[in-house]
Amino acid sequence: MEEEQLTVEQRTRERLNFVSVALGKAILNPEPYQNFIKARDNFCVSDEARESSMEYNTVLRDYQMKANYGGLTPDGEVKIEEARKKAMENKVLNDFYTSQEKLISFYQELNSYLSEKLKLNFATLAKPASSCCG
Amino acid sequence: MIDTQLQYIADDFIRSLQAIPEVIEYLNSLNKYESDEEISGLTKRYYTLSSAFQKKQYEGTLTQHEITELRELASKIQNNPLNLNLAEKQNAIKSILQECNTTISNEISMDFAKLAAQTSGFCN
Repeated sequence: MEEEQLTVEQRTRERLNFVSVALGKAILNPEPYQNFIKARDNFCVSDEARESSMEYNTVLRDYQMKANYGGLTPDGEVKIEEARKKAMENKVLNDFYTSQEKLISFYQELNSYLSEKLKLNFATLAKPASSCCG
Repeated sequence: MIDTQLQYIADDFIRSLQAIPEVIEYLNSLNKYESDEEISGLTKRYYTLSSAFQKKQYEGTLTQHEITELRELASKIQNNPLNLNLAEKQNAIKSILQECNTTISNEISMDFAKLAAQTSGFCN
């Protein structure tokens, strides 16, 4: 009886693993994923886009440092907005950032769908224990 | 944005998770928690007081007695056996959900749950 029970549980787990793989594969097809991969590949081979991204990130980091350790000036946010506008003039970088945002929205939408039916927040419970950039 | 094919596979994934004994136990525990009148009353009272006290705090009229009342209420909810049981069951399914996420994430070459749970963009 116990052996039989174990087999049922093993099969249930195997089935879950199988459908998890299927779900992962199904995410690869929709437009947001495909667009992101293309935009990321374009970004990776564009020196100009990577340079624009670095410049923008330097301004962001500088602002964050000042916000954390003091030294923020009233024009801090204006500088960020100007840097963002300048960075977004680069089409490759613009596409890359836009596709990132769309991909995250797509993941969030899928997570909402799963979470609502499962009666638990799948992503919150399943994400790694470390923080965002950890 | 979620097309029919993805929805079909997502539904299959949901059904498979709902067949896992630990998930069944969690859902039973959640059902008991949600249908318990005492918990429901305590939670409702907590949110009503919390909202009223926030206004008082803003006006500077919140008393120590009121702060203690709210803390005691929160502690009562937290230590309720149904709440403790629910937390325990939720904890028990975490590793199963994390395993699913690892499998999904391996397929898409990025961490699905980490990205779906965040409120801002990627970490550049």
